[in-house]
Amino acid sequence: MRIVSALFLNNFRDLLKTPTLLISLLMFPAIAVIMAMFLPVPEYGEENYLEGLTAGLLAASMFAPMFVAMGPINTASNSIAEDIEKKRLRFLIMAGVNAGHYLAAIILFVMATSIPPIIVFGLIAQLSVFGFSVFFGVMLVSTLAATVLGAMVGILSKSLQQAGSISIMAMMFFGFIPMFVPMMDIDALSNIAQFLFTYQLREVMFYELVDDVNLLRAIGIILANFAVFIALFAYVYRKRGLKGKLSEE
Amino acid sequence: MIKMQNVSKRFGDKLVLDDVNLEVPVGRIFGLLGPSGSGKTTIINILAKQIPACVGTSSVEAKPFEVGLMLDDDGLYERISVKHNLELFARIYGLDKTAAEQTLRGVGLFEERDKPVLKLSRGMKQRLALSRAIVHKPKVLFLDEPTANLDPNTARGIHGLILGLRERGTTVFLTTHNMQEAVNLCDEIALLYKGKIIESGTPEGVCQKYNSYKTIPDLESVFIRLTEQAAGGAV
Repeated sequence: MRIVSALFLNNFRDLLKTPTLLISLLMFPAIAVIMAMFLPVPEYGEENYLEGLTAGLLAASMFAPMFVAMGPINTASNSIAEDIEKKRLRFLIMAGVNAGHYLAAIILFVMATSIPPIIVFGLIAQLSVFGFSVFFGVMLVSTLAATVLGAMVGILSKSLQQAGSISIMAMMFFGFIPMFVPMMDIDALSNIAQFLFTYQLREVMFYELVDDVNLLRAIGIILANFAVFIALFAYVYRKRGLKGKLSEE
Repeated sequence: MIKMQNVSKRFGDKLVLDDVNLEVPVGRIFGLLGPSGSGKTTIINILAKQIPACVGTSSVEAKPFEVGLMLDDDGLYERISVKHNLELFARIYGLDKTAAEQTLRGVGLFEERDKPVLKLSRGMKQRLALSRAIVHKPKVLFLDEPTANLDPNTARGIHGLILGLRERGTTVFLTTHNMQEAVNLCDEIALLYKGKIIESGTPEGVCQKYNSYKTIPDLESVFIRLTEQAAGGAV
């Protein structure tokens, strides 16, 4: 616990001095708050009218999935890839830090920095107590899933630049598809999106307004995504590991 | 005691170490001398359990957390302050902030403690890397070219610190290609060339063996002579 808390604190200090990561964590909740004030909502009688829909819910449903797809993946992959590139891991390992300590600190750090934005999205969405609780729970699981994905990208990368390139692909896939599906009537895109945890987050947010949302199915898909990421991470970790990086230096 | 027996190491097809044998008694400063690419850092990495040897055995009589390591890649967190860089390791070792403060005073970086590492000079970064290696008062210290690229004053300061560590009973294993540094600091040396130890002993002993007519030990001449012989296959 002592080692994990020391690494956690260090990650946090480093984050405060890293504007690019700070922006990726703060940008989406900030945009969502602004959009919640100005986004036009279809009124009764207009096309796409939905009873109970607020500008806040619309903004949160657009930006919460994008945040989950970008913030945690970017933060986790950046932190690990930078430690590998700057060859810090060998000093940490030498001091008694093992892979469990290191990864636990990264995951706790990403989760801790993601909770305030999640609360912001939940508040502007103006969900009921039940709705907020479900939303908060699935956002936590989704953030964890995205962090595992980011950690996998970090381990696979030899440099920050490489991590950035891989992260962008993952972020575009998981972040943009859920946003485009409601705007474009493309069946193929919709069929793919249904299996993405980020799309199902949107479904969970509309559960109380739309009758045909299956909450259990949405939660099941999010958990299945998480399980797949864990399995992929375990495979990559067994193949590459963290200590294995040392022999490449 | 640091010991290496019949150690060989390959990276791909390249033989980097060839049947290396070393022994360093407790509380001594041992210098491994050799040109760039001779395998010095690989030996430190094997002894510090950073990479495995292909053949042979190595042992260090100290628990992992009783070992300190300073390499040419400093691995520092550049955006955060000097103080916080050292406090991270102090906390990992289970020490309090005082240990980090005392170490920073010892290496002359206390006044710079609030500066981010990226604003430090190369010499200051090297002193910080050294302070990270010694913050937990290790029994064994591995230093990879601790004074490379430093000005003479800073290098002398680091020499003083290393000698002070020996006084405390720390075993120091350092690599260098600065012959004068080896003469000034080391109790024993070994000359490494293309992954092979070509000579070893005390600096004075090695000097006298090859140029006994000189009154001042001239390790540099000995080193050049031996490596030229080795390159020609005479050794």
